[in-house]
Amino acid sequence: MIARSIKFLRPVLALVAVAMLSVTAFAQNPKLRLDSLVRLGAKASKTVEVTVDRELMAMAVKFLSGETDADTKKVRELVAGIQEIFVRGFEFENEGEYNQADVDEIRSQLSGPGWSRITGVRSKKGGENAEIYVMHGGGKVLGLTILATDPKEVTIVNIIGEIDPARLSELEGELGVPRMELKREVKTAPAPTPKTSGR
Amino acid sequence: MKQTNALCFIVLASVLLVPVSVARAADAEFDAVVRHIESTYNARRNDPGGMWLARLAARLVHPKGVKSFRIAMFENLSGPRTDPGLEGILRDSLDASWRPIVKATSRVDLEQTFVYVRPSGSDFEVLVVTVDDEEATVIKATVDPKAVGSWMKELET
Repeated sequence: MIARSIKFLRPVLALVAVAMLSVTAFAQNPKLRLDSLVRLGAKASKTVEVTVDRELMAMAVKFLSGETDADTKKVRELVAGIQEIFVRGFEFENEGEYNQADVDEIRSQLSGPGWSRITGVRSKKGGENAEIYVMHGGGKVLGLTILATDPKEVTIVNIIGEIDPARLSELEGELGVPRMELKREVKTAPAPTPKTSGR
Repeated sequence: MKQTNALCFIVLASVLLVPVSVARAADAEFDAVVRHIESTYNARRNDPGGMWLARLAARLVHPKGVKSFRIAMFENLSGPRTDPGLEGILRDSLDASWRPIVKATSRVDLEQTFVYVRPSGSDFEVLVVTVDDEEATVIKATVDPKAVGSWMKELET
């Protein structure tokens, strides 16, 4: 009886497993819901939206593939795994015109499954705080988000696809990604203890 | 965020330095945007003065990858201070092959800028529409993909 039940349940369990995997995959979507930024847009004096969607990125990669100079080759390598780029920038006339609650919706998405914050990266631009988040899945990078804030400016860069976070600074100024002068802080590891030679 | 002004300046400077002939063919998308600006702002087109001089200069200066262009410039706009309908007109006038790539607004200068691109053979077609409280410019150009890349580099948020 139990064996028959297990036999009956096996396909059901398989379906449940597939459904759970699908839910996990859905939850691990690196594309942020940027429509929540409408409140920021309403308060900002200046806004910029850059949208390099899947089709546009495919077009860019196609055109880049014909080029042979070193700079273009570098960009091509850099964007090869990227599918989409979304940039949203908001500038305010005065300090205090936006508050942290306005960007909390984005932060709450970035605290979701799959996202982890890269520490030790700072913006060299005066007064700007840059937070970088990476989503990993299946052993690779699925997406990356930069949230840069200062008292009068908020910038969000949401990159969908595979990108090496170590090469992020090379993407600044390309395909609408703003220059944030990101710099990795070098943390010196403690020097290994020299082995005694036994002399 | 001076990038919208910078972008318009670069696009404008680039197209003004093109020696090739101005596209005059029927162009429904371009004309629809121009008509919208004319009717909304009670505006009349200005023929850009000094274009012949710019073309002459272009024979001496390497153009920035622009192969053909159309341009419509308007001054002394009147009517609404802001035009929320502009984006809708663009959406309705442009077919699905056009991709919106940049949208910038400034409440300070009452400026709106929209940039759309689409592939055209081995080149890109670019449509730039910018409207502020006094002037409007509509540019449609066929450009080398590298030129689009260099314009995008100028976009600094």
